[in-house]
Amino acid sequence: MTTQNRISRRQLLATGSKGALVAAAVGIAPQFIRPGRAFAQDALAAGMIGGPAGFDGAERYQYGPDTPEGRAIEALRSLKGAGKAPERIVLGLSDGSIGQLTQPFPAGAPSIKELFEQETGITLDIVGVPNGQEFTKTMQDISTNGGQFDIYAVEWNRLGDLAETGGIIKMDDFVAAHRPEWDDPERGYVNGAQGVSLLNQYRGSTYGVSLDGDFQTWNYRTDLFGAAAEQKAFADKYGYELKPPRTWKELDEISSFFFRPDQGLFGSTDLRNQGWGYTNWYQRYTSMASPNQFLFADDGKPLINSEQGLAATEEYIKSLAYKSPDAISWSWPEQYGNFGSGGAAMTCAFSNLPKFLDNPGNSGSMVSGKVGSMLPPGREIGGDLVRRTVLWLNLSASISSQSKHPEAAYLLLQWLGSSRIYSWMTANPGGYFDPFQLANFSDPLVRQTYHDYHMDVVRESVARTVPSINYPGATAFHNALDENLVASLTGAKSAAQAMADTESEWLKIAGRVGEEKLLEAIKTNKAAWPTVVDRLS
Amino acid sequence: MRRSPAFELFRYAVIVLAIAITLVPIAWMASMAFKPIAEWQATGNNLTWWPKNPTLDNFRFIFGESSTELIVALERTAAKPILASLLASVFGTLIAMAAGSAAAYGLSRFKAGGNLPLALIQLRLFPPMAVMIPVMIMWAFLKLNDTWWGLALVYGIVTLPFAFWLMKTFFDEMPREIEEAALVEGCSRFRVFLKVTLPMMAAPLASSALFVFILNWSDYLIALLLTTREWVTIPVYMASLSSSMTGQLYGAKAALGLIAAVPPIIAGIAIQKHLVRGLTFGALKQ
Repeated sequence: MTTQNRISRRQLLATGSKGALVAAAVGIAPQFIRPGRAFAQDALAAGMIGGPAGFDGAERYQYGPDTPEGRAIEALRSLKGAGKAPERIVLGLSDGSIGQLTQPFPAGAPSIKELFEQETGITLDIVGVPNGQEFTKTMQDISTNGGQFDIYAVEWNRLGDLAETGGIIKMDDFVAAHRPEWDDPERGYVNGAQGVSLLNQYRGSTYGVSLDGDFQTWNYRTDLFGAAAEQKAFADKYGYELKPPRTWKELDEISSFFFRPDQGLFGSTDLRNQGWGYTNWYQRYTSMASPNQFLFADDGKPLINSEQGLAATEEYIKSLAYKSPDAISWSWPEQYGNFGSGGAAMTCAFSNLPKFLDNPGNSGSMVSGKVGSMLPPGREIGGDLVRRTVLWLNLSASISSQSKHPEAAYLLLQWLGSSRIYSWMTANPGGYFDPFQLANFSDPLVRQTYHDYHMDVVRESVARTVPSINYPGATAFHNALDENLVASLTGAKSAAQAMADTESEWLKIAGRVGEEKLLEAIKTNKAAWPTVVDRLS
Repeated sequence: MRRSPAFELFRYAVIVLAIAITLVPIAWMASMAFKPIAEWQATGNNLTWWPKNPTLDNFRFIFGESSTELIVALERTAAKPILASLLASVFGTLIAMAAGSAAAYGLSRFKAGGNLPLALIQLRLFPPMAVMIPVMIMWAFLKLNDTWWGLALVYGIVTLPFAFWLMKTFFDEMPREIEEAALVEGCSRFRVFLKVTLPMMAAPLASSALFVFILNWSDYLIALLLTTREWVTIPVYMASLSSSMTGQLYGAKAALGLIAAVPPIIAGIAIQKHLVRGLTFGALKQ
């Protein structure tokens, strides 16, 4: 062995270490070198400036420079270039909705959050808010000047109340500057400008951007309705064919027929609890006249303490007979859990129920492949069938008046709430945001996760949807109705007393709100009520 | 006096009924924690008392291991809420016990503090929620919102009256002659408190501290209002355990409930000796 060939201990260790590093890198690297989630720059269609890539059909969600999404992203980049953009935007969002922004969907896609951060360089900081606490947390931030959020996401009909507090800002200037095209007749909101006014505006100004489509829709179990033995037994008992009910009378009879608590089966589990149940009272009440039984007359007088109000409330109470003994305490989690475990023949819920429960990926669901959708039941009036459902909850995002970067916050909302990104987001089963724009209803990915059978019914249900109260004082109006209805369900009050007390409280609230504001808001709200009635045949 | 067999039977029946009423919810929670989703969602005749196919999935789920059955991955695991509950409850208890014991001793021995007892009891005359809006405003100004130390401070204040009144009762019951003997021997007042009084009060201190700790540990409303994301506590986190796929995640809630029951039980066992003495302290007059 020559001197040149000798290796010192130090050289041996150094060479060995290098070798080990290379070997380790070669061995380990493949675990990290995976096909990356595709971002806009990777594979955009010609003429597009942004949007997701990496999955079949991704081009449907890409956008050019002259689209609402494109304008929002370019404006954010300009703000960033001018040093006027924030490092991060804080979005307060109900816990259950976060997944739609953070979980990549479909396979190969980036998440909404990843894409936004990639395209703008701004961190999207999403703060979870417990479900049902959205308004409380928002009011807490406003009343304490907490400044914890740039954007709040609360129920759409609280916009008036929030705007009156001064806690959220008017977006009119931003809307004019960046043109979100929410009323686009091909892709925008149902009913165009009227839909935009209903969901995003208060007293003629934009205060919110809708991020949801909570048109309450009806579902039933196809396996139960299709079973020959059930059909025969039902026809023998009631004298007509077992099929999805068209009227409230049919709904009550079919529900009674399927009420078998010993088998863990309830008739219909449309909710009766405080906070949610009154949305189902709305449906029974508003279908009492053709085309609509309104809550208030044009002069602001409440109309609920009437023959119609009494009848709707009595029906509402009687329906407890075919529900769980705990129905007064059931909220949607109990309702979804029960329906998923095969515990009900029918229910009325958010339009996302089939997305979650008629889902082969949900191995806990026993009703996958057994769910059907139907239009809301109604009433025969003057030879027509008046079916009404209700828009309830429906998260809408508003910009905090404490935000130091309101324009950037608005641009995020324009991007998120425009039809391309929103269609992609709402198809994602990771959260609660539901379709509400024309583009969503026809989008293949949305129809795939929400199911074709359901999407067509949702679209028709939208045409028969009444808005809940969104006047200033909406929270107080609803609380008064809600508390009195619950009192009637528990037997603490009669139906007549509940309606009389609600009317009395509504008059007091109306007095506090002020006639001018209230009449204007009632007029705007009524303009959004449906006119569609069905033919009896 | 010999009791009749019928009376004895009735007495034992009442005891067994009381034990059953107390233990059934706990047994149900323990059972639920080990049930797979199909079993905790069951209704009607499919309901079972004990898990047919016991699983640890619910525990894995709350600590972030995605379960194929529960579908939805959690945005945050239970680890930090458990830490938040521990920190806020322990330090809240320390604050309440330190201030409460000192105030109680001062009042018991020197009648110091004037209207202090009345002032302290006023803290309990109305529900804590009634003052939470001003507290939230102050805490926001002081940047104490969504911090465990901010929560611990509120817990300390809210449970101070309990600590004070419990400890005052115990100090009143303790013979002063022992302290006076130490003073005669030349001990300073502070040294008497530290070396004589406190060691003798170990049992009452332990039982009062456990009581205060449980109050803090089980709070929901204050934590809901004062925390947002970084330091939410177990009860607040538990309320968020639901999903559209499954409804209420009863199994996960039960698993977390079972874990949440551990610290008070451990604390109770650790101070069992003192607890019995503390609860009976002063029961026998000399």
